[in-house]
Amino acid sequence: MRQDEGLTRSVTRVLLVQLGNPVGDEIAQVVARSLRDLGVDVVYGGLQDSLQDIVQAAMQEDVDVVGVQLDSGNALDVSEKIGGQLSGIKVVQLAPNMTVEEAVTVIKEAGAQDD
Amino acid sequence: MIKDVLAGDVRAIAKMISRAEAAKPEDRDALAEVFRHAGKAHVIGLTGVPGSGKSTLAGVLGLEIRKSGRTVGIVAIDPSSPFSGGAILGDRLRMTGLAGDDGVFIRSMATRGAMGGLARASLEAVDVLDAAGFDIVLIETVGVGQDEVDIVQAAHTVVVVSAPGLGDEIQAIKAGVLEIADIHVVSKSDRADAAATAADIRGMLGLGPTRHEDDWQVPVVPTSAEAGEGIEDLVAAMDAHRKHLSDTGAIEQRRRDIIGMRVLKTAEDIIRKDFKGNREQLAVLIDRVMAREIPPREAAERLLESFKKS
Ligand SMILES: Nc1nc2c(ncn2[C@@H]2O[C@H](COP(=O)(O)OP(=O)(O)OP(=O)(O)O)[C@@H](O)[C@H]2O)c(=O)[nH]1
Ligand SMILES: [Mg+2]
Repeated sequence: MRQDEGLTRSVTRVLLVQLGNPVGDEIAQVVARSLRDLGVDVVYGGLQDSLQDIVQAAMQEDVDVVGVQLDSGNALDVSEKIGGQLSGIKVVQLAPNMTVEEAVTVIKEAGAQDD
Repeated sequence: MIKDVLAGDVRAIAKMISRAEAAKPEDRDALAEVFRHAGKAHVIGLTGVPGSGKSTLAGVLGLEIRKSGRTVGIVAIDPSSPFSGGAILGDRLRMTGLAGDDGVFIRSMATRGAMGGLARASLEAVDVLDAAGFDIVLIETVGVGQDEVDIVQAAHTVVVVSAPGLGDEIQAIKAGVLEIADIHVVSKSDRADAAATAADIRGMLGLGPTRHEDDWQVPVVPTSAEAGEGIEDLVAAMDAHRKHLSDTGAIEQRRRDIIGMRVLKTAEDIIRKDFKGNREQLAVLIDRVMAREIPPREAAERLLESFKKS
């Protein structure tokens, strides 16, 4: 769901979180800033303890897209695990080796898709 | 939908807050229904300059309030970028200690998410959480800018957070938020200069005007989220203030003031939006003022007249 700016622009809401033990949140911060500069409202949630916490945050924030940054040891399919609980919200996984550009593109594309 | 909100359904509450932000005509009835059911929560405003520790405090406050069995809703406002219109909403990051608790609902909001109607939208978001049954609703916003100050003043209890260090104090005075406090918090009391900051605020309290015609003594409460100190004291002070408002009957006047402000803010919001869609007439009037045919005031009156007819 988008919010109409009244004129023409629409803002997408994105939740950005980390799961597991990522090496740091520098990448996530740059991704957040890039998205902000594209006009997106980014809820920066930081490190989450569990998938259930991510589901709760995504629901409360009523976002369009959740980007989950995983650590290298994590072979989890996040969107398969929680996507079902989040109808209407896209869950995308940000692999640890993704560049900022790739991550931004993945999130943008998910936000542009229709339900 | 409204039934689900009243029953505390998380997604229904979240969607209703989005509707409050978007203010579409088709959602008016639902939001009116929300408003009818609100009015029970104790609304607490948290304000202070950026980085003063408001979100961290909200996180530990939430935990402390939950110990008493009460539920907590939080509306946390962060600024939008004036360049892109986007925002990084970073308050939630400081409240991860509250994750996984169904008795807590946290919602982040961008200042421009409501297209200029920040006060209207954020206070409607508070209504949604109130109607959903949260006992206490915290609203966090920086104390800079008139809208932000209006928002915290729409709380029953206003908490002004100052971090140690003189710079913050000077900024708070400039922003005019010191005198709206019902409770002063000196955050980060684990830091050495906190005692001096608390002394400064106590000193200033004796001087300036306050809105306390009644005999409420504004407390200065040092807290440290880091060391877990002063949080119980703060909850006790908030509860005492709420009780004071009830005992003295001051709550009624405060409610009136809040409603009055909201009506005016909403009127502003409606007018601003309508004129955005009526740029042609505005352009014509601007031309006439440019030519000094009419003064700005007359142009404004004409705009309002056509607004009334439409
Ligand atoms: N030493 C110490 N640092 C603290 C304490 N509380 C918060 N901080 C730090 O202060 C910084 C700002 O904290 P926030 O809670 O984000 O402050 P804020 O007022 O919400 O900031 P904005 O939302 O940006 O206006 C962070 O680096 C916190 O770790 C405390 O009790 N002690
Ligand atoms: Mg904050």
